[in-house]
Amino acid sequence: MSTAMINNPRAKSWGKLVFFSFLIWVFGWVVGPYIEKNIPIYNQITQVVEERDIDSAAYMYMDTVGSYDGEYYLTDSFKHSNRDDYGMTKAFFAGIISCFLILGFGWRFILE
Amino acid sequence: MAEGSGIVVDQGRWAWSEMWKKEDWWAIWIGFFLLIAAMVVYFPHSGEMKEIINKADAKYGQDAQRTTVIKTIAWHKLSDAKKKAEARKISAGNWLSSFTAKTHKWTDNPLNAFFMSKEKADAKAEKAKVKYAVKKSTEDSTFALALAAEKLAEAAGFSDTALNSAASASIDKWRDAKLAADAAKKKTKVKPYNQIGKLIGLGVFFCILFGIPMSVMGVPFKKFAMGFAFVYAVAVLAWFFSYQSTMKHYGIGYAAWAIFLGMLISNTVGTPKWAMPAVQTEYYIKTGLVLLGAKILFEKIITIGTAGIFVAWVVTPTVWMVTYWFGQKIINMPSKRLNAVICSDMSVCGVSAAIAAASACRAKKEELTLAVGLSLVFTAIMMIVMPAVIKGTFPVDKQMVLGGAWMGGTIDASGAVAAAGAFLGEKALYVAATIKMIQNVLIGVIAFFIALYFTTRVEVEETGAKVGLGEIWFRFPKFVIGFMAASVIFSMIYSGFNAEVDGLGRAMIDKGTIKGGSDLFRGWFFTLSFVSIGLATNFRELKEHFKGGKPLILYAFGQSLNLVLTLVMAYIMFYVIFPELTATI
Repeated sequence: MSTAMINNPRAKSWGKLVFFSFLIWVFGWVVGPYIEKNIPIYNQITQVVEERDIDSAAYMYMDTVGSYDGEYYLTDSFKHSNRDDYGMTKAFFAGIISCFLILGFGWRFILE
Repeated sequence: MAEGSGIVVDQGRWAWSEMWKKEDWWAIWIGFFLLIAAMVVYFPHSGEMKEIINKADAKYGQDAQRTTVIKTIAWHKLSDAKKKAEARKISAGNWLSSFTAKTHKWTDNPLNAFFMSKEKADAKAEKAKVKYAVKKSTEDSTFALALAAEKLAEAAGFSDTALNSAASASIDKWRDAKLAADAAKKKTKVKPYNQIGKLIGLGVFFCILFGIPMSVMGVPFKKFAMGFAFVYAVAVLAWFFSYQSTMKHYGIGYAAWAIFLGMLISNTVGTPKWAMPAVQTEYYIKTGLVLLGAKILFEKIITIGTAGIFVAWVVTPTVWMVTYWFGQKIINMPSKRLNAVICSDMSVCGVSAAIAAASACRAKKEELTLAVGLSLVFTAIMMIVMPAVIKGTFPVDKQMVLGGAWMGGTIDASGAVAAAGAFLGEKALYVAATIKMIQNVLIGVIAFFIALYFTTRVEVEETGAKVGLGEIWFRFPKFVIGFMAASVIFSMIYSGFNAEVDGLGRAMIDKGTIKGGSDLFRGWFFTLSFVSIGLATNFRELKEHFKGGKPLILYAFGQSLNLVLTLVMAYIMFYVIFPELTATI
């Protein structure tokens, strides 16, 4: 880096921007692919992600294919089995009530 | 989120003019405007969706009911045929989806993100066709085996356990092969595209959508529009990077890129002053959250039964409470807001929960950035480590359901949950993604709880004044009401459709109004908010919040507790209390 550049804050700022952009390139095109190729487990997951076209960066359930298919699969599986321990049972409501009891307990004793 | 270094606490009384002068209300108006518009587009097509579902029932229904002992080929075909009912597939839906599309996936050539010629698309499709042919042949051969195995089991009246198991195993193999073949088939339909014009058009639409209310709130439209062009350009850049194939593999999504690019600009060359009128973190985030509310459908919590509700709805608040207590009492987190936001993203569902919690408690932008950063790092690690641990240590018969539930309850981001689940197999993917989905529904409850806690207790403590109901209403973040209202209204509509014809709710709401409407905009709004966060964040301030590594300790403690409790609860619920129900999965 030249002395003129060090003394020029504007040039220094742009230099930083270029440097970090270079780091992105290094990660995206050199380090990242290297890790993918050389760590077997990562390589396998990458293949699954590509093959199934999974958006592994999705933040919400609606953004992933598996959520919809999983919901269809599980709901239909349980309905198909005709079991009486699936659905709006007492145990199911106990789970929901437990959630609110935990929040209530926390409100009273933890969030003072 | 609070502006500047301190927490901004509104003092005053409720006035009706707030409904057009405050962004909280505008978030509700804009959110509901888009939701109603989507309903107007899709709801008139419910008859067509009903017809698809009824046709599927007529074709496969009777055959699918031959036995309840195993899931037959006909049962799967019925399920596949019903899935084809998607309201968003109508021509208006296709146009909307194409108009609001982000950039495209690319590997080495950045131009592919925006443009692809017909020749290139054809060449890609040809290449994909070769791969599809291989997958299709595997699907066909596994189908033949599955059919033969099912016939044998049926000949024995589905009463021979060994034959039933063999049939189930063969059918499962066929399903795995079919999933791979279907994904390969999609890739054969590559079409040429030119996204540049659409991206410009979408930017203009967003500018008007947000700019007019801004002018009502006192910011001249022209000033907003100039700044918005800059913010929107950085948002497009964030999507551009997140769709690069290596970044996709690592799960480095738009939120990470938006914050990073924003911070890179603000901490190097500086955010241009003329762009600041459009750096409106809360405005975009709250609008996105109102849209998010519409997809929090309460009926979904029943999907995986009682076992799922205990894993997702009992462990999650327990972990939240204990971690919050740990943060306050053991490591003395200086900021209650940061503590609450980290607890939410770690225990509920990562970035989306962090956004909702931060807005509900009015956390500082640096606090949200820090929480999101922690979540992204841990998610990337857990996405790789957890399936490896499950494969290496869990008994084979428990890898799918127990492993899936464990990952679904602990890995923060839905996409990473899906990737890790798919690595183990189809069932693990379904269980993991469904547990995550049920946890997602909890966002509304947690956000409301946090808003109430901070409004009635923390802010009272900070201001030292007791507040009455009127003051609580004045201070309460109103967008939370829009978020909850959207959730309740759409839950009711969803259940109403399902009551009419089983599966119609999915076709009209999940895969109609939401997937083909609100979802198309929500991702963009969150990106704009994350860009705004980055553009207004000073790296030094961020470092201050990380002092002593307390946020990291808090996250690591909470996630460790989450891992232990989720595994124990999943084992007890799926294999001790409901083993027979688990066997039907």
